[in-house]
Amino acid sequence: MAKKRIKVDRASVRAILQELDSLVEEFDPEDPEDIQFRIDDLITAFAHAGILKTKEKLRRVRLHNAIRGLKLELPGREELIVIAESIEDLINSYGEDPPPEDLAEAQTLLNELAEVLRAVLNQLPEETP
Amino acid sequence: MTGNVDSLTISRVAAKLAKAERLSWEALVGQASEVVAFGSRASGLQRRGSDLDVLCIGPGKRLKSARLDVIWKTVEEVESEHWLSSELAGHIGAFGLWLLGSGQWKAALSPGSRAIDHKRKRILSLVEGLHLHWNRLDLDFHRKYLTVIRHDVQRLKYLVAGLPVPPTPVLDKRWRSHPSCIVEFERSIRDMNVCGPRMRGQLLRVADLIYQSRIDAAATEWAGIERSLVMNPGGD
Repeated sequence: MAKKRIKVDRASVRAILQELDSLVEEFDPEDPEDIQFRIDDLITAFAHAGILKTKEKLRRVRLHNAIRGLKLELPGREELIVIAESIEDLINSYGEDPPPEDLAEAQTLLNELAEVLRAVLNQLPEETP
Repeated sequence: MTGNVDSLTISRVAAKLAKAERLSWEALVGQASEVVAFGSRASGLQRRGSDLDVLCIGPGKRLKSARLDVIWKTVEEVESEHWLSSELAGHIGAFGLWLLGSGQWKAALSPGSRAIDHKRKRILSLVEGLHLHWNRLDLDFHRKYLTVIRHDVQRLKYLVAGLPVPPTPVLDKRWRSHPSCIVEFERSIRDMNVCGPRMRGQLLRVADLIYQSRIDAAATEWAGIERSLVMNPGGD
């Protein structure tokens, strides 16, 4: 039996793409708090578009959980989850600002992740009213 | 104020958590000359699903999973002024549970202005970020960030007083049950000496929301107590 393809309205897809672009383009290696806010903006956009399946409260959902729970046909999902976990590790450090080289690496990984997500989102069929 | 745990119990817990991650605890910390558990689990105050925080001294790479968060510092790093004046070093020195080694560096701890400045900067950055992202964040994330900011303001109070910052559940318990916490919170906000009306306004607005969330939580708790009294008037 063929898997049912998920349909998301264009406005929600646009909102997700906007958050994705903002996360990548406005990534500030000197502002780790802002990076975390933008990741949570993206998770919010996933949830509000109805493509995030999670049993947890949204505040407990981290980027890798979100990637795992996305109701999208993601190529190489397991690999993307590992990338998301690496991003989280790089931007979170105990009581200190993460070193700039860690944030630069996080930015590279984020670009990789965003590219896959963008491609998948752009191919989603439009929802018919 | 912490729970009653000992290093043997925590070592067993660590081995069990590592096994659940398909890792060997012995192999994981094999390169360490010192192993210290800290955070809520090491204080016996963990919640369901809390991870175990561990500091290892030696050559190793951080491991972060749902159950374990193992950070590594080299011997040179723990002897540096940067580490000895940090919030984390102060916390571990006071509340850590040594599973291996003696923690001689504890004697050289020197809480200072760097940790205080860093905390102030982080609070302001979070307050500003929350305003900026408010409309794009889900309601549940609003709650998360208000709690994060409240924790950091509470931690700032300890740092300013030259005291080690206790585990987060201690901060939560104090916030819920200690009558003076609001006064302390207000003082910490005032002591931040924020320049500029915009930033001051944002900080006060966030503080108001944090107070409101405390009132809401207390109201929910009271409603629960009232419900249980109606259902079980004898109280047995």
